[in-house]
Amino acid sequence: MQAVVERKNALPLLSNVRIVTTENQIEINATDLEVGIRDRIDVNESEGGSITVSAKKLYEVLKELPEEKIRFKVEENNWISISCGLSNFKLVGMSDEDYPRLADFDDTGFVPVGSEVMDILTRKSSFAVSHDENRRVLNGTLFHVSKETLRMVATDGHRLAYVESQNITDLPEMEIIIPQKGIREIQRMISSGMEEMKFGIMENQVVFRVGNETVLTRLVDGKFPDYTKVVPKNAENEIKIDKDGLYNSLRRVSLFSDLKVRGVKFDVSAGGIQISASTPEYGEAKDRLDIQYDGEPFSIGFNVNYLLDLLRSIDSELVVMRIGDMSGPVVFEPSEPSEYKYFSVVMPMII
Amino acid sequence: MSGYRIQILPDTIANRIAAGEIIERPASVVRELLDNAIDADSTRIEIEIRGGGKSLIGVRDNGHGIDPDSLLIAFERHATSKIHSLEDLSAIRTLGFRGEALPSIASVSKVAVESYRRGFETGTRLRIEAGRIISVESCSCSPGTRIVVSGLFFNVPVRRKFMRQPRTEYTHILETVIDHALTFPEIHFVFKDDDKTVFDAPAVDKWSARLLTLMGNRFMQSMIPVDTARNNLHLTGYISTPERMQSTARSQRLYVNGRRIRDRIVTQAVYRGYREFLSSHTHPVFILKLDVPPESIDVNVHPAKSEVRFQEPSTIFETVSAIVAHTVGGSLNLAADHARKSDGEIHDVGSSEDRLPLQRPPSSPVNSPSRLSELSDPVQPRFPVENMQEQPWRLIGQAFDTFILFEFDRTFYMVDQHTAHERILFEQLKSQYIQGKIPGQSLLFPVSVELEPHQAVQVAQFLGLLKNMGLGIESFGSNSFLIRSLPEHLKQESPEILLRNIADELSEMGTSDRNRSAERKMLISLSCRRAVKSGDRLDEPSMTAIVSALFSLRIPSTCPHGRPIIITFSREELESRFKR
Repeated sequence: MQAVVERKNALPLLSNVRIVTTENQIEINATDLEVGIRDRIDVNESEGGSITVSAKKLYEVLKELPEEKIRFKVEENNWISISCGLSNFKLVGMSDEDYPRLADFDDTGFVPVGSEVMDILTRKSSFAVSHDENRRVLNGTLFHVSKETLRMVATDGHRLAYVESQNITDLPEMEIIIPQKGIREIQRMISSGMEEMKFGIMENQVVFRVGNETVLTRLVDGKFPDYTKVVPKNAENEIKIDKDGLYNSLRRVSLFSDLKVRGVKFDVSAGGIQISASTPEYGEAKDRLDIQYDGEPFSIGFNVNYLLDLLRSIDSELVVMRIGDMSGPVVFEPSEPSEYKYFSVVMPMII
Repeated sequence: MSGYRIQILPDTIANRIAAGEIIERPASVVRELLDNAIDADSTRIEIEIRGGGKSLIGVRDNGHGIDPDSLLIAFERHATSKIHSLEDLSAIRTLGFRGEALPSIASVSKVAVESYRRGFETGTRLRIEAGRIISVESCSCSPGTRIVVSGLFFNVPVRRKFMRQPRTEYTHILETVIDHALTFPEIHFVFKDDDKTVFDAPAVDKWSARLLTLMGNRFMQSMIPVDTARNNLHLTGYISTPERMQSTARSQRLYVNGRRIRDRIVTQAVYRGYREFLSSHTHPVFILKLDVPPESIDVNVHPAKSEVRFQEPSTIFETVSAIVAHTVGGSLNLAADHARKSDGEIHDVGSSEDRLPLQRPPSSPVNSPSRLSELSDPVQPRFPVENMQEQPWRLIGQAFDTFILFEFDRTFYMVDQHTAHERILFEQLKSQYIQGKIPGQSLLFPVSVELEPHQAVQVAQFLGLLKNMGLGIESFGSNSFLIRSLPEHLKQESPEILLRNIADELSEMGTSDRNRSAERKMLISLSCRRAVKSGDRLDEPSMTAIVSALFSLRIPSTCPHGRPIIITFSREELESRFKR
């Protein structure tokens, strides 16, 4: 919940969580207007009522309490008293009158979606999401279902990650963009339990539900760029490199790439690749790797962070790097097909 | 009929019109000829120039033409067919009322005129050099007037020297032609520069349609329409959304009763209307037509007709600023819709999270000064301390979220955080640039940007230099550019805004096309984007980083734009102020 509450305090009320009690159940809501979370917890006895309270303070208090029964009571003027054993707290609460309400709905129209599929697909794609708030469509992951295939695509305009899972029979066809914050909440929900995940879509929001917990996220409005266009069709130069070898080598060399620019240079020739970086302040690093390649020699530059990110998403022993035009996009993909089709496109750096 | 026959103005009127310099550059000739062509009720006007108008300016119209007698009189001083008496002068509704234009032009150039007035037997061809009639003959030509002015200032060496590069003069002419084309959408305008068609804008019935032809789609998308009549004035046109401010006061066009005017009162009123959205470095874009009753203004203030005097300036000011404020306010609600989240609550648009992370300064000083000198500032008072590293300095804090305060060596320092950071980034970028290229990150999805014509001209000249700065741009049709890569350190920025800033910065440079100063401008523009702003609250590590970078880079004590970075008080100065 804490992760969702609004930190920027544009609307002070949003740094609070809303607590609604009914008989035998408490419901907790948090929202930043983009992503909302609802969690229902069964409790012993309770009366109906509602209040909002600082998410941070409440969390801090609950974290420090011993493992005992907690009494939670709303008093006059929105004071909240919490008692547990011999500890007593009084928290300043606020009325929930102005607190945004999360849409409510039952399970109709919800379809199951594999937690594992969601877990793997989001992990393999979301690293490429843009954090630039000016480009809202790139601040999310494309969630594209067609012909029983679910694809997730993310890009920040410099690199792109694509992953798909086939035989998705339950999901309706759709093409939506889920904001990064929503993706993070979905991942968190998956990591806290591998129960079945349910998926629903309503107007401009999607809903994921696991057990008693529901995450609602607003969709990003707009058209995701046409990712099929950036995949080069005539990428004839194909290079196979040991994936872990490349990853380790990049980590070593990157110690000497400029902290801001992060450039590394690949000098590729038949059978071998030299990876190098240098900074005027610290010095330089060079590393060599054997590769499977028998074409013409060439050189190309990359942002090393982009490569490290994408290599973490590749499971096969060898990684394939495909290049067409030397200033155009470069494709990285696993050497063997797996259950999840995956590739990543990186634009070179002009060093 | 007689209304259009050219007459000699009575002396009273002639004297009333202050004699002045009308023709100062090729663009002035174009303006006068266009005014005449428009007053002749033309429906199609073709403008053609060569060598930035220095070698040739031709204007051909299909208006009502001039009959043989009038044509001769036209070239005498104060011949005008438009004013007959003093009453007329105080209700001027046409553009070229002065009757000074043609003789003035003719006296400093070689003019050839062909004109045919319907109803007359033949047309007339007249050639004049330096004000002297060389030949008059009958000719056959289609209705309308064609004037060709060549060898401008051929007999005035001082003026000839004063003219700028053809590119610069071209830019001024382009502005003039655009002004007229915008004011008269119902007239078909064709503009050719050295046989190349710059634009061909067919007659349209709406101003906005003409604007679209000339300015392009992108431009119009970021503009809010204005159309309000109030207090006897009518304000129409477009003003930029608060999001589309720019860093220079370019692209502000004001037309009063159909004439492009520079006017402080109206301009200030527009700024006032934007008040809360403007900072000291941002300017709105606007194209506004202000129509007021002719008798409430005096247009006869400036010989180049670029100023007016309002009878009731305060009413104008109040009304215009109120209209603008209302319009911007109205549009802001629309803009805020983007930030409006699911439950209809308004969410703060772009706030502290936009703050830029401070970058660690490199630990070693920049390159050898000799190579740097090319790009360096003319004045170079260096930061006074050499051994800062050894002696401790103490950070005091931040004042007004704008100034960093610290003490060192019996001196109290105040640092402007924005200018300081700007200077640091500039120096870093500069040293990178001098050492080689600035790395560029290619874009997966190239971005196309449409610039205004005068900006496009400037940017097109420097594509090679920009490429070395990591900004890969290709020319893509008349005023459009395709951005293919961004400098690595700016890759998170919007490519479009980046290019527009550079274009602004370059067009401010105006006349000078020396590469070095352009290089400087572009580097400044690229470094400015990343700098912390005044009003950003900085934490201690950020402030420390800025101050140490100032020391380690041994930075000049002004920002690249020339504003001071540091103000100091010695302990003695302060003590004496406190009378200790």
